[in-house]
Amino acid sequence: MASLRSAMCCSHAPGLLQVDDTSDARKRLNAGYAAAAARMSATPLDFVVFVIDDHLDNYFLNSMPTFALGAAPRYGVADEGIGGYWDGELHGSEAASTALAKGLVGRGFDLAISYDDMVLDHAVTIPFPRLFPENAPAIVPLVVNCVWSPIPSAARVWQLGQAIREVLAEWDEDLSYGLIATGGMSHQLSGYDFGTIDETFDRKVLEIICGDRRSQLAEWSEDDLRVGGDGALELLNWIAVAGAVGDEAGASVLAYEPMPAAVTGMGVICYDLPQESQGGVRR
Amino acid sequence: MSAYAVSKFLFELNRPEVRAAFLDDPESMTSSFEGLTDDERTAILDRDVVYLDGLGISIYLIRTLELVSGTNIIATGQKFGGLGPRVITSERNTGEQ
Repeated sequence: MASLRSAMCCSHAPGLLQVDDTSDARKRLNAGYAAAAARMSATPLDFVVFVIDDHLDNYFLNSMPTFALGAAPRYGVADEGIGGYWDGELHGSEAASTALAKGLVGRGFDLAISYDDMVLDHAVTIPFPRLFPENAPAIVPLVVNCVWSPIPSAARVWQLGQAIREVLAEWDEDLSYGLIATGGMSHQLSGYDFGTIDETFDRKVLEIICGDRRSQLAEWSEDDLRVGGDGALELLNWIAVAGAVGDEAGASVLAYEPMPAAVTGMGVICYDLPQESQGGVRR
Repeated sequence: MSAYAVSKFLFELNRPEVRAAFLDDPESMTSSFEGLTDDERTAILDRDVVYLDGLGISIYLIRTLELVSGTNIIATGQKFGGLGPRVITSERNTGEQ
């Protein structure tokens, strides 16, 4: 079986790159990402599943998948109109992707699958170098449509997270993996409400994620999510990872900052998985 | 869906050679792109994000046009005429309490 050793969620706004911001809020946020990186590197991981959205950089309206899985040997960095936010390399795990593809489709998740020529945008290229400044693991991108109506329900992405864990637990490979959701928290990038960061909404999400009944997130409607702005729909990615973790494990907020300079409520949360807290990394 | 051609045009700007051609000669570049109406073409040339948003174009595609044009996210947001980046504390319900 492949064992879940690390799980976390964090924001991915390109505003993280504003290096000229020397505010205390920025320092606390950067410290949160550094703390998450330390947590991730404390447990050797054979691969990491990134639950993300694609901001119409890889997929487009000619064919818009609700759920899509990358199964490529390597991934490109999306251009995003600027030549990309990062110039590093992203290696895939074809074996893990293949196992997930078979298992998830077998469980009724009718995925689109990208076997090559897939590019990943700031949903990966912003957090990845912060979380893995060295010893970058192979990745498996799992794209949830959070950007174009109709989007999947919170209940369905919770089930998707559960299914990811079940499939990898049944996989006949003795490997360790991590799960990372990126996106959110509250932000609104269009219309008169541009720039609104709802701290009350964000803190409610953090309270639920860190509580003992985070499964209530599976009951949230699209409107419940939209309270935090259109960008808060990216919390579907967080709900998928929450579904994989379940209600049993605890969680720690490593940083939360409502950041007007980044036009986003920025959060970094790590789950306290039982294996991790016991320090027993089975390899 | 509405304004598919506009979306497709903005998506194409992710290709460096298309971007270069657009920045070099936006008038002829947009004129030769199949499916754009005159109003849509004008909105692209004017970077009229409010009009494009009104067409139902994804903000992520509009943002590509803006970044290609050297306009950052804050300046794009100012075009919507709202209060801009700010933190609010709401008492609205968020899911099951």
